[in-house]
Amino acid sequence: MIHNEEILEEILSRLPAKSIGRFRCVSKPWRALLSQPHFIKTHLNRINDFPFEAQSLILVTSQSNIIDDLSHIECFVGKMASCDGLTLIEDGESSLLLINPTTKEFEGLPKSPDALEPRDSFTMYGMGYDSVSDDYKIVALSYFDTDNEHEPDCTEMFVDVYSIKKVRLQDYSSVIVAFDLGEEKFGEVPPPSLVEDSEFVFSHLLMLKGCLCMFASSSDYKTDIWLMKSTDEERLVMYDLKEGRCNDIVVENIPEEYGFGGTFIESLVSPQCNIVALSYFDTDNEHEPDCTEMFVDVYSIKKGTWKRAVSSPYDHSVGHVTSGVFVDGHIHWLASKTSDYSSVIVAFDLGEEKFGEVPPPSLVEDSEFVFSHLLMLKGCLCMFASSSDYKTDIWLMKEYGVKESWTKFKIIDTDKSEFRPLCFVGMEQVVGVKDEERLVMYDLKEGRCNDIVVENIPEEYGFGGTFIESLVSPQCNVEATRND
Amino acid sequence: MASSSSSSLSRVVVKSSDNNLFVVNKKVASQSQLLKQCIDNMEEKGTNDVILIPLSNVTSNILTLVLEYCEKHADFADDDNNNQELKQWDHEFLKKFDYATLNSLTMAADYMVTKSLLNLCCQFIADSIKDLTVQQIRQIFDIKNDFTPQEEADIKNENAWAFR
Repeated sequence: MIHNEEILEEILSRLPAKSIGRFRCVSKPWRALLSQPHFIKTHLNRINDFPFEAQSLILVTSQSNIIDDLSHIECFVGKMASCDGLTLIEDGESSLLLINPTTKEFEGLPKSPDALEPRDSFTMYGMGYDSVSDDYKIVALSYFDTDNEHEPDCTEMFVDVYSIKKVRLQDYSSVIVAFDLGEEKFGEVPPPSLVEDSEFVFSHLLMLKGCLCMFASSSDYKTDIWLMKSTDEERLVMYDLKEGRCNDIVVENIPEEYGFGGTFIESLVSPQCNIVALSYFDTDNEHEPDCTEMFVDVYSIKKGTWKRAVSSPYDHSVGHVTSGVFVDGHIHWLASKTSDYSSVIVAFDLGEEKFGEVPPPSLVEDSEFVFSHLLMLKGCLCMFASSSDYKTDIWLMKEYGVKESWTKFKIIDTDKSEFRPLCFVGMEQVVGVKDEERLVMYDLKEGRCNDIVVENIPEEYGFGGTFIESLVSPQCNVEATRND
Repeated sequence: MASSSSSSLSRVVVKSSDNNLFVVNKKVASQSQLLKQCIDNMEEKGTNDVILIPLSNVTSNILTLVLEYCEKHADFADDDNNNQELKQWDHEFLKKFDYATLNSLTMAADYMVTKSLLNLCCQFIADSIKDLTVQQIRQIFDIKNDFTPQEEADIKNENAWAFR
């Protein structure tokens, strides 16, 4: 009936993503129109015009069927981020996946070569659209877990010697994993026989005098150093410094070219340096200049690569790991100033790839709000906190970056439960989670909560946030990003 | 911009493609950017004659509907856009029509540059077709299925997510 292609596009771009997918099967011209990047962009821009209308909830269950091909995705609620329908999740093995839950397309992201070892560090992610380079970017903000008492404190030595690029612990089952540069694959190296398997993931690998070493500080503040040495082509010995003797190691199935000397030497400091470095290995040492640094890594979907950005001048170790909130070209987190530990809303500019600040609401006390939470509601940056009397104050910054535009509304629950807002439905209804258990809808006008009944919902689930139903592909599709 | 001359038109005459004449007052006509542009041009020239605007693409049936819409919206022109009463009226207004009429109305709104009516029609059509099957869409839009059975199976498979 409609022969004007422009008008046809006007109509079809207002359809939900699912209808568009179905109507690609109408005819060849429709398929061409509904698949072209320009159309996907137009569709996305229409959704973004009404940021509070087309949202879906992410529910996390132990057996996720979001994507049929991925039988089992375990992910952490606090580590998800979503922008334009693309949703970033981290699975149980710290791998990043970019999923469009609507079209079921997904893409595994490579690990950052600079990534910190997950066991020793915390990483928070954020994701957003950078209009400057017309690119989606993922930001990883990581810092060492300096408070974990089960690990030896990390010192400069840790950073210098432990080559994250070339050696990493592959899984949690306590194996030493060696990356063979020639073969470009991982193999296993037998651990010292006197070390308990379950414990040594807390040890660290390093290179001493051309040998692979492992050390761990024990509870009595003595340092065990294990040295693995290639004595000839077929024998490996373990040298225990403390006991001052060698033990033979029988290695089965280890390839001959698996020598340690050659493969690791290029990343090593000299023996003298190691000695100096070892002298830093002191669990009582309180000066850990490298440990408090906030590492910032940025992934570009267009380029498909990670890049280390200037580190953050703020203290992001605020007690809870949360994903960044993307609003207006910036990814936001709550953090503390390193100078006086006052709270601050920090904004990572995706174009310039550096941190700045957003003014907080003037009525909020500086000292407190780092323990609040950020989210996006109605396309605006929001901050909320539950108070002790079960009232949830939600601040909404109506005009981005304008301090005076922060507006407060309250959610008062007579049930005495905690309320975490997720999204708006229309102008007056807020969908949220009560006590991290139940989905509820709070009516701002009536001032009360109603339970939301979801059919076929698994018994156990978490609430990851929201996404919009777009057609944007997680594959490096340069064309299909939005235009601002 | 209207000129400072004394001439100021209060109404225009619009002619449909089937040669029917409609007298339209200026405020109503201004809902259409096409008509408004004609009026502004004439006012700048300082003419006092009643102007005739021929619309070669719009039949009188459809023009009647467009003008009905413009009249209603001219009444609310000073109100804010979120007026609930007007939204309700818009919906009731479009509900009466079949797809063929909606189509013609959309084309007329596009031709007469009546943006709000165009948006309204497009959204209304989108809302009413979103749950239809592929076969129903082909019927309504009079589209021939040009896929081979194999091609159709492939494209369905590619977009299997949309059929669940």
